[in-house]
Amino acid sequence: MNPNKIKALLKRELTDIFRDKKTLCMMVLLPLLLYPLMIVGMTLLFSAITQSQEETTYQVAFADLGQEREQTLTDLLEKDADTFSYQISVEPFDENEKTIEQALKDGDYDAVLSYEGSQKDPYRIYYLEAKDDSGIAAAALKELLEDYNKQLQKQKVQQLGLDADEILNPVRYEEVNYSSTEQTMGNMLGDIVPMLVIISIMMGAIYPAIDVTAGEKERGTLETLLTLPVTNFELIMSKFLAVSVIACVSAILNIVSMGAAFGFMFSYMMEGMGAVTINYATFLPAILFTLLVMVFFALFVTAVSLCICIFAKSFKEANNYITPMMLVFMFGSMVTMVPNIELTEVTAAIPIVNISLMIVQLFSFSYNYALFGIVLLSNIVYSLLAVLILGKIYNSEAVLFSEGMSSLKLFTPRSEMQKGQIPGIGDVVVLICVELLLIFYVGTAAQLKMGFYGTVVVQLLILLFPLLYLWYLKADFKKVLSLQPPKVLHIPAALLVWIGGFSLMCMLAVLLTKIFPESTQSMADTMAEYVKQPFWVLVLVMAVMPAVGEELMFRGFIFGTLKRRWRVLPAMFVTAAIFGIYHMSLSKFFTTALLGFMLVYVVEKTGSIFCSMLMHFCNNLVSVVVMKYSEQAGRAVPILTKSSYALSDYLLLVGVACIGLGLGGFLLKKTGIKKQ
Amino acid sequence: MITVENLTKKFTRTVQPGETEGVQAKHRKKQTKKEEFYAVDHISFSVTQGEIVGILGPNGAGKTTLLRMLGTLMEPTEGRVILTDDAGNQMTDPVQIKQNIGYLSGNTKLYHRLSTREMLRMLGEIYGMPKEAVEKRIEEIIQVLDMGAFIDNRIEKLSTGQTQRASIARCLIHSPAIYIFDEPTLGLDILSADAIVTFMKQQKEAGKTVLYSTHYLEEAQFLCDRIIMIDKGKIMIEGSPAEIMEQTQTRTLREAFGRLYMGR
Repeated sequence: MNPNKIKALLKRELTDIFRDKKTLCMMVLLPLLLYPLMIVGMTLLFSAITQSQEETTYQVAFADLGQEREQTLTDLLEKDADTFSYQISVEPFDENEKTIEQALKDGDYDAVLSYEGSQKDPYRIYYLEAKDDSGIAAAALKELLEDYNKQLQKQKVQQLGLDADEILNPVRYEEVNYSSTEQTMGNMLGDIVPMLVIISIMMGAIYPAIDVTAGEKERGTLETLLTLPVTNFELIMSKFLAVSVIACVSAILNIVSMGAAFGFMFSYMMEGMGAVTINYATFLPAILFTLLVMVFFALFVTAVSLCICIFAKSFKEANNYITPMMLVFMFGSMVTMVPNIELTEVTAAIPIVNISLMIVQLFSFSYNYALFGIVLLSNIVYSLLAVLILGKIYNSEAVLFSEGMSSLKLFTPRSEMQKGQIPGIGDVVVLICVELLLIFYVGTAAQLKMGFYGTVVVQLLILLFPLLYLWYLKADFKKVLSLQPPKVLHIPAALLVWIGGFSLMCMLAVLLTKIFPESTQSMADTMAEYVKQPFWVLVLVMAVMPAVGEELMFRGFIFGTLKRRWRVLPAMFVTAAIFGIYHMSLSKFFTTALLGFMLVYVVEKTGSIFCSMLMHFCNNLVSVVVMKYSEQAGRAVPILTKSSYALSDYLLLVGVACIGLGLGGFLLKKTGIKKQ
Repeated sequence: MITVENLTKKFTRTVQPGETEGVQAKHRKKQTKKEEFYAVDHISFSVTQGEIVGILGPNGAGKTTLLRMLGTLMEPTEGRVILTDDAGNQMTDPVQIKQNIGYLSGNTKLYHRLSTREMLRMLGEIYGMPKEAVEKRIEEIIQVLDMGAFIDNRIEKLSTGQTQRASIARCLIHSPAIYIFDEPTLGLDILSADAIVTFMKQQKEAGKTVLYSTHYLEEAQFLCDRIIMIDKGKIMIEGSPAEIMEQTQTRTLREAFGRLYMGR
C-alpha cells in the first residue's frame, strides 16, 4: 500500500465530486436551506392556525333551556370566556324554521345545547363530528356543562352545611418535576436526533457512493482507472475515504443547519412560555459524542452503499438497488420510537439500531462508556467487513466488466421483457415486501372497516398480486407456479405427508405454548367474531382462499423462482422460513415454517402445486372445524383440543407422524418426477 | 519486450437452452444453464522492442480480452504475461507492468470535471514521478500534441479530436516503453485518426513498442511490422504483412483477411 498513491487518487475523487453541481446541491444547499425553511415554515403555519382560531367566533344555540338555566349558563360562559382561546356567541335556537339537524348542517350554528326534562340525561349537545368547528364548539359546551355541574354540586353541598372542598375534592395534589428543562429537552431531542442523523448521513453518502462506482462505470472511466499502477486495495481505500469524507461533511452541515433551525424554534417557543433559560452547554458532551459516533457510522454507511452500488452499471440502476438499503436504515433509525428498547450488550452490537439507541442515551445524559465502546467497536468491525467484501467484489472482473445485475426483472421496460422468463431474486424480495405492506396497511384497514370480511380482502390481495406481477413480467406461469396436474398416486401421498406433518405440528404447538403462554389467549379474542360466521363461509375464507392464494405465492412464485436461481435445498428452506416469518408471530413461526417445509417438499417431489393446495386446505379445514365446533371436535378427536399432552398422546402422535411421513415419503419417491 | 505464454481467458456465461451452437462449449454443468467458453485460448507470442504489432480479427475474436490481459487489467485464467526491460529484468507483477505500459481503448474515458493539466498532474503523482519532472513532462507533451490551447480547459468542454489527444497525453505522461492501443482510431475523423497513426510511427522511431488492434486493414498493412490475426481466441496466422499475403497468396491484407475468415 502506497499512501502517496491513495492521496493522489483521493484528491482526484474529491475534486471530481466537489465539481459536480448535483452533489453540491444535495450536500450543501439542500441541508442549509431545507431545515430552516421547514422549521420556519412550520412555525409560521402553526402561529397562523392559532391566530385564525383566536379570531374565529363559534356560534352556539341554546334550545328549550328555560329562562333560568339559560341565564345561568350564559353567565357561566361569560365567566369562562377568558379560559377559551376563542370567542363563543350564544343565541336562542330559532325553532320555527328548521330542525336542529338541518340548522347544524346548513351551518347556522356550530353546536346546539338543549334540555329535555323528561329524559334520563336531560342535557343534549348536538354537533357534527365531521366538522372541525362544530367539534370545537361542542367541546366548549361540554366544558361549560362540567363547570355548571361543579357549581351545582358545590351549592348543594354548601346547603347541607358541609365543607364543599373537603367533600368534592378530597384528593388534592401538586406535581413536582425534578427534571431540568435540559433533561426534558434532551428527552425530546433523543426521539428525533437519531433519525435525522442517520438519514442525513445516508443522504450525504449515497450520492457520492453511486458516483464513484456506478457513475464511473457509466462514464467509462473505470477502465482508465484500472490502467493505473495501483492495487485494488489502494483504489478501494481512495473511494471509501472520499465518500466517507463527503458523508461526514454533509452530515455535519445537516446537523449544524438542523441545530440552528431547532434552536430558533425552541427560543421562539420558550418566548411564549415565559422566562425559562436553557443552558445549552449541558448538551456539549452529547453533541461531541454524537459527532464521533457519526464519523464511525458514516464509514459504515459508506462501505455498505459502495458494496451495493458497485453491482450497478448506471446511476438509475444504482438508485434502484440502494432503495431497500435506505428503507432498512430508516426502520433501524426509528427504533427509538419503540418503548422498552434500550442500549444493552446485545443491542449495542446491532448495526444502525446501536447508533440510534446510543444517541438517545447521550441526550438523556446517561453515559455508559462500556456500551459506547461496544457501539463504536462494532461499527468499526462492520465497516471493515464491508470494506473487505468490497475488496472481493472489486477484484471480480465479472462485476467490473459486466453489464450489471439482472436479478430484478421488474425495472426492465416491459417491451424488452422476454416472454416466459423466470423472475429474479430481486423480484422475490419486492414481492414479499409489497405483500407485507399491502397486508399491513390495506389488510389492517379492511379488517377494521369490514371485520371478518376484511380477511377476504387480505386473501384476495395475496392471491392477485403475485399473478399480476408474473403477468407484468411476461413470466412462464406454468413453470414458475408448477401448475401441473398431479398424478393419481400423488394425492394420497400428499395427504399422508400432511397427516404425518400435522401430528408433528400438534406436538410442536403444544410445546411452544409452554414457552409463549400468552399468545393463545390473544388469539381467542379475535376468534370470537369468526365463530359467529356460517361454517361454509369460514371454510371458503379460511381454508379455500389461503390454500390457493398462499400456495401460489409461496410454493409458486417464491419457490418457483428460488429453486431456479439457487440449489433446491436452500430454496426449500428459505421458502419455508419466509412462510413462517410471514405469519408475523414468533410463537407461530416454527409450526408454520414446518408446514411450509412439508408443502414445498411435496411440490418439489410432485411438480404440482395442486398437491400442496390440497394439503394446505386440509390443514386449515381442521383449524376451522376445531374453531367452530370445538366441543364436538374435542369429543371425536380429543388430541385436537388438548392444551397439554400426556405421554400416551405423544406416543400416538409420534406413531402417526412416522407412519404418515414414512408412507407418504415412500409414495412420493416412487411416483415423484424424475430429475433430469 | 513482452512475452506471452499460453495466455488463456475463460468466461462463464448464462445461455438459454438451444443457444449453444456456434460457441465452443467445452464444459457444461447440468443444473445451471451456464457454460464456459474461451475468449482467449492458449495464445503464445512475443513482441520485441521497437515493433508495431497489429492484432486483427472479427468482432468477438478476443482482441479486447487479449489486450486487457496484456495491460493487466484482467487476470488470465491460465498462462502469463512477462515484461522484460532493457536491463533484462523480468516483470510479472501487474502494478509493475502497468508502470511501464500506456494503455488506451475506447473504454478508457477521461474524468470530465478535471482539466487535462490537472489530470496529468494526478497521474504523474500516481506513477510516482517527482513534481518537477511532471511539470517538465507536461510541457513536452503540450509541444508534441499541440495542446496549448486547451490544456487548462475542463475535459467535458473539449471536442472529440481534442479529447483523443488528451487521452494520448494520458498514456504518455510516464514515458512508458510499451503502448497498448485497443482500436484507437475507431470512430474518429480522418484528421484525428491520422494524428494517431503518425503518433504511433513516431513512438516506434523513438524505440518504443506498440501493440494495437484495429479493423482498418489498410492502416494495419501500412503501419505494422507484424500482424497477428486471431479468431475465437486462437491465432490463425502471424507474420509481417508481406509474409501473410504470401502465405495466403493474396495481394492485399484485406484479401488475405477475406480468404482467412470468409473463405473457410
